[in-house]
Amino acid sequence: MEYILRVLVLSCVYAMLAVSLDLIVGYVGILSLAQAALFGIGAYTSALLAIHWQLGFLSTQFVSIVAAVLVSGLLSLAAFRLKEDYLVIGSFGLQLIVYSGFRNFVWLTNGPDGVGGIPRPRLLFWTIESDGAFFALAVVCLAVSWQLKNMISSSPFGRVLRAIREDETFATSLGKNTMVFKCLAFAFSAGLAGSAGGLYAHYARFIDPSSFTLDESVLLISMVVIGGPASVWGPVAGAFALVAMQEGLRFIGLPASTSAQVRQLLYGALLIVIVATRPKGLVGTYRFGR
Amino acid sequence: MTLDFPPVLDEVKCLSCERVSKHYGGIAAVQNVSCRLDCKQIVAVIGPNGAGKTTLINILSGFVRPESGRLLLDGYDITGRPPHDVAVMGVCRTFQEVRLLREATVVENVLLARSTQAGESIFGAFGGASRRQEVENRRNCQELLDFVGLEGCHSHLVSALSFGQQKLVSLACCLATGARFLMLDEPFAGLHRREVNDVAVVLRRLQQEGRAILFIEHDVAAVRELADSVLVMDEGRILAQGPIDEVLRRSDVAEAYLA
Repeated sequence: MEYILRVLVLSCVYAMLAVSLDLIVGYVGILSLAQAALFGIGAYTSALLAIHWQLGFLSTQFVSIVAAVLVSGLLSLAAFRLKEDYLVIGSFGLQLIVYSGFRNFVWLTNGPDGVGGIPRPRLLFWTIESDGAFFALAVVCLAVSWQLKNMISSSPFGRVLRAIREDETFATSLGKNTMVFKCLAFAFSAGLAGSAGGLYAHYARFIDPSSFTLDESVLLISMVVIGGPASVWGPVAGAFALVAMQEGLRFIGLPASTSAQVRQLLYGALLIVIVATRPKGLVGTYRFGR
Repeated sequence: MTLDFPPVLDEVKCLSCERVSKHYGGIAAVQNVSCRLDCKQIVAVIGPNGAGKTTLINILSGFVRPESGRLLLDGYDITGRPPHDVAVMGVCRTFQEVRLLREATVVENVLLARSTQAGESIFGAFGGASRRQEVENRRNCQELLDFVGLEGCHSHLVSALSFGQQKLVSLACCLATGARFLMLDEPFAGLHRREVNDVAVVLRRLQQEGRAILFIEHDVAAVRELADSVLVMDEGRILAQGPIDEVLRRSDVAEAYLA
């Protein structure tokens, strides 16, 4: 039971991240490779504040969101100069810079040794200790992220994001300042990723840079693409499907030395099958609307 | 039916450019061109391919910054302002190839174009006020689509419409921005005669509403029917301008364009 709850909490965290990334990949149509970095910023911020300042969950969440939004400003700065493929390379650069920061600012992040002893989240006077209670908290966080993203995507703001994805020149000709919309989408997405990071840090109780690598960013993109970009349930479905597949491989009895490679092979094969058979993903929509 | 959406300002307004130039590589697309578009005026731009007509529209709509010269709107210098700013100020353009969200419905395209939407701010997206405004906007956009002759097509996907209908949707999008100056790049190209007449009727009505229209066209019959004034371009320069019959009588125009 404990194992199942752990998998479910992890699925919720990844689903929050996939939901946040969907706003950029699915709605604006920009492939961002920096989502794991923003996730890490949220995780480290929450961890350090909870350890050193004994802040409660809501406070650490707030500061994590703000920190991730500020770091996403770097991506926004890149967006002022770079377009399309070059912006992807810019996000790749941000991912590498932040990851290097986690590894090398040893005085702050303890470098590759990571940060341990992160307390369980404290909500006012209640400390969430049991896995069951934490799962409930993760579900609430996922529900809030999902709802916020869907309110954004179904609003006139989301309509402009989809228009930017389809034809930025057309959106510009109608008086839309596409750069402002992109920057706001980056910031909103980063805020959700930072929030997921805070939740993860409190759950794992130990974080190190290996959880926030480029591989994680690619995994998140896979979740969005496989689930169905720019759809209501797609990112959530993609996250749960890939976490379930990852965990399922444990029961096949592959030797530890080859399991990672087999997993990568399966991701690749799954991506090819999904793109070939359901280009809009498992539960994706086939039109401009939500 | 009169169009009360979007509102038209009563004051005399004009859009003009003064001695603007633009080169692409070594080629002069537009050289020292000056022109003026007044309220309630329809101006046609004609000329052979490569004459600089589209570049002129790109300059007037802010999509291309001229290397020299000025762009003036209501007397204010707006040279170098980004195209979205120019559109917000009331200068909207269409494109030679129809640019629309093809997998969106007709009304969604026009809703996108609607200016001043509370729900377009990130916090406004969460408010009830934006949802109420959306209902009102949708109704207005449907009226606008009826005005341009697209009754019954509101919920169709743009990709399911004929080319002529798509051009009308482009026009409706321009109007939904609240534009006072419409820059139309070949609005009649690819349309059959009946569709040309439909678009011409709409443009006439827009003129009566107080809007100014500058359009590029190769169809001399349509130009003759619609334009108050014609501007003939060749090799990036203005060869002649004035009433169409006067202009077409000139031998240099006949040689450059009609021959």
